[in-house]
Amino acid sequence: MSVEILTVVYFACLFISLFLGLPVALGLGGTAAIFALLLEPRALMTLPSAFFSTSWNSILVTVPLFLLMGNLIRFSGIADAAYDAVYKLIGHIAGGLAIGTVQVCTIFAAVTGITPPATITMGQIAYPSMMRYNYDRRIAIGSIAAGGALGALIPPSVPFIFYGLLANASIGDLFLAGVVPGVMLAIFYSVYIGVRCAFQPHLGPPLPAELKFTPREKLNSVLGIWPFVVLIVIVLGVIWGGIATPAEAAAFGATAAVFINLIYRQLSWYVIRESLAATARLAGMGLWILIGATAFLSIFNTLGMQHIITDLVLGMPGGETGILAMMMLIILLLGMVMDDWAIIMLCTPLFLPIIEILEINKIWFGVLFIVNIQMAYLTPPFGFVLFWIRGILPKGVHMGDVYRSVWPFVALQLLGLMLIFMLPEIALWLPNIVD
Amino acid sequence: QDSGPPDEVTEWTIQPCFDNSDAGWASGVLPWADAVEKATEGSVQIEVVPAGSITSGGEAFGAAAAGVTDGVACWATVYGGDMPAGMLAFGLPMGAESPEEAWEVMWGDDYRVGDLVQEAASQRNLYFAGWTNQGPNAMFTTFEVRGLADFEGRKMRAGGPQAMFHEAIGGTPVSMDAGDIYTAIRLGTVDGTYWDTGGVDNMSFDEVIDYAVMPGWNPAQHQSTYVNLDSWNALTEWQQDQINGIFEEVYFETSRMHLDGVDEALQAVEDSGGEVVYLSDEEVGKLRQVAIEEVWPDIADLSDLAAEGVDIYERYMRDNGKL
Amino acid sequence: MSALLKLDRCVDRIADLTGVLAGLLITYCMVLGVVDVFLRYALNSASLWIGPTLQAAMVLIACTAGVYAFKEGTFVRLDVFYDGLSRRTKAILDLLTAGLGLIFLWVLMWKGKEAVELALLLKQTTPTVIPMPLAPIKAAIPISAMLMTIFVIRQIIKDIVTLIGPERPVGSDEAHEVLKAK
Ligand code: NA
Ligand code: NA
Repeated sequence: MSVEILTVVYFACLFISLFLGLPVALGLGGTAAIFALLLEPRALMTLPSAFFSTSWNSILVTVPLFLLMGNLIRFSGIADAAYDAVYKLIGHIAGGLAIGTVQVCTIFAAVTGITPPATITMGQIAYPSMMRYNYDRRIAIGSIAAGGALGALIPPSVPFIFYGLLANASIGDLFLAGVVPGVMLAIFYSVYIGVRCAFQPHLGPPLPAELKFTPREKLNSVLGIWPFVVLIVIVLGVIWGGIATPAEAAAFGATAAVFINLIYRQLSWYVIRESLAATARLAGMGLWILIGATAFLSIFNTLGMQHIITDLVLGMPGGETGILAMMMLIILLLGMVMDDWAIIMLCTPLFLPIIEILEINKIWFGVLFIVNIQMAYLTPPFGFVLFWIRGILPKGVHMGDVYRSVWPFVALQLLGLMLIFMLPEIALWLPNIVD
Repeated sequence: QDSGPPDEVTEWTIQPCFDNSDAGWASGVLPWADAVEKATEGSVQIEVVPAGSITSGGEAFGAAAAGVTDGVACWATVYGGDMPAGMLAFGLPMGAESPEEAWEVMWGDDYRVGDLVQEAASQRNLYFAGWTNQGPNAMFTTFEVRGLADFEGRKMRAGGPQAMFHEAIGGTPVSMDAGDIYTAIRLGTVDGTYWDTGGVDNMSFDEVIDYAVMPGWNPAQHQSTYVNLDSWNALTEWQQDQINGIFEEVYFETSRMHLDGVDEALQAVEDSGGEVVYLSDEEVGKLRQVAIEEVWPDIADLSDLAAEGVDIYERYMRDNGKL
Repeated sequence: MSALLKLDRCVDRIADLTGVLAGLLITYCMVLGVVDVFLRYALNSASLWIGPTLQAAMVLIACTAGVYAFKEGTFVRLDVFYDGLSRRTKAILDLLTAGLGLIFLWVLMWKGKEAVELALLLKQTTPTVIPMPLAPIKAAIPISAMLMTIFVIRQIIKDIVTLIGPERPVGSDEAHEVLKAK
């Protein structure tokens, strides 16, 4: 069998098993296992190895700890009170809560280098509140998913660091280059929500006009947000203050959530037990998908399928634009099955020689790369943000609901990608003025 | 009939514990693989794939031992937990100071530490087949360093033997992912990092550090290549002789390439406004004393072969008036 | 039949136990993460043993929480087509795809056991100041795969019962769930 056909069969096996309802983690791992078994049995050892080394990665500890932080806040009911305050404050704007969610995600993105924390936390806190105020499910899910994905674009960013290492590009410049595109996307999302809800108020109902709050009530409501402010300041503060690494900051966030519950006298045995149980369920699900994806990629490489990608790019007509467009398309397609680290590890070494021959700016390409990966997070059928969201939301929410929620935001990401493609200054302006 | 390539071509897949951004890729494992292919007249073909392709960097050594891959190129700082005697091939802290000195203690008739490494490898179903000197593994700091005393109380990213050393000179070692080091230095979470000098510019550390401290804590850090013993034994005697025959030549050639990379990296540090500090002989002597008294015994404790090797190293140091 | 039910309960109890273990491990990560920074920042003393124990805890969390999540039904599926289907059709599809999942779990058990044997042979430890043996941590991988296999097989048995059993009215499944919960 030619390697081209093998690649098609490999992906077909995965997608068919997933669409027939096999859990994602088992579909990824099972496809890897059966192809290794039939074609390269000595590579089978990489499956337990992928399990061990994926979870051994020390940055991953952020996943259960940020989950725990969100769960503690959620089960204690503090989040509802705080969101009630937000509602009083900006509730008169149609879609205000969803816009607020995007803003908080943006702040979260400036705290963490990866995507799951903002998605996980806001999925647990903001979603139930938006449902309580009769927001449309799609606006709610979309704002959390798109906002959460910003974590990789706005510095600090682990994907930028890995790209910088492999491309031998300045990480500092990459960080700076991510700021404007990240903020730009956050504004796009906010404007979209605001405009859409202004025309279709039932999607994000504003407060009834007769319901007014006194300045005193509003001030009190602002004070009601303090647990969130404290959490964000602590997590952000210990990182930017040079006290802790991102992994350690997650432990601070969870610990702070415990103390906030204590102050509110909400730290019951029930809250602790349910928070830990919910955290274990989500962490177990997410880690197994990561493990399955790592195994899937390892066998993909072992069977020599990565060469397909180079051939595809180099065979592309249309000169520089054609080749760049092909690279972007490949990243997007790989994003359907792989996580961000895996794509960067796989594509950067393959694409970089081409980038250097074409004399394309490596910082600019890096930003295009990461914006593209954000789209990969959100594009069905397979995107890591989608899985986290689906795992967090109540049982009644289906994957189809999630898919239908994200497409306007994916369109906005595509618009952003096009703009950065046509106007490289959007990315390069900030690093240029700093240098 | 043993004096020529067999008709059948052997294909090997080798996955180092690092990816292709590492200095050890183009200046270490690739030249070795090319030399092997040439020496065996094409009867051994080697594909080198980056860490993470087949298994993670941390699992690469075990993968070669288990026969998942045909070989691995690695530092003992990574595989030290799998084969403590590998530290002898990595180079003891403040032991050898140049490729020539390192060659002497490993393969010189009076010392032959390399035989101990080969024995340890053999016990783990591996064959020690390639070696290269990567130059100094050193300290890169945001604080001014003129001597040993300047490290007192300083938080630096350090792993394995680096951490032993940093603690021994009064500092606080901090462990973190490679991907987090850049941000951590910039934010002041750590005051610097231990790293192999030739790789500092690849990691963009030159952007965030102010001082490169030479000759580091290990002036001659080495990377080793191990081949799965079953893969090795499947070769003809002629092929094995050919591969053994290029060991020394490739060692000195790749070591030269690495030292060029070290010069480039130090130039990058200076170009971005940093200073390359060369410690005085007196301070180097202090570093050596700390290394031999505090760190070498810990390495010797790890296994019998490691202990035997540390003894020979000490004899070498005495013979050369450094102890 | 009651023996089978007892076995069923026993399996559930083991899964709940893995949930408790996962909770304890997560708590460990939270507390030690803060302690690590405190030791380093406030007391300026090294705590290099903490990092590797957190990594080991993460491997064990993947094992224990994975089993617990699977039993609780949190493993995400692409339920776009799946959710609209009848119980019977779902059961047929489950049976069709379960094989692929079982192969993955079987490889994790089989090769996971070999990985443990290799770790013992190499006397694998962390390359850290205080070496920590890796074999016991790696052993958790085939064990968790085995537990998960039991759940998959239990699901297969339920699917077969669904297929050969009488067609039940819509909604009885949910009613059954509610009753079970009480
Ligand atoms: Na970020
Ligand atoms: Na996707």
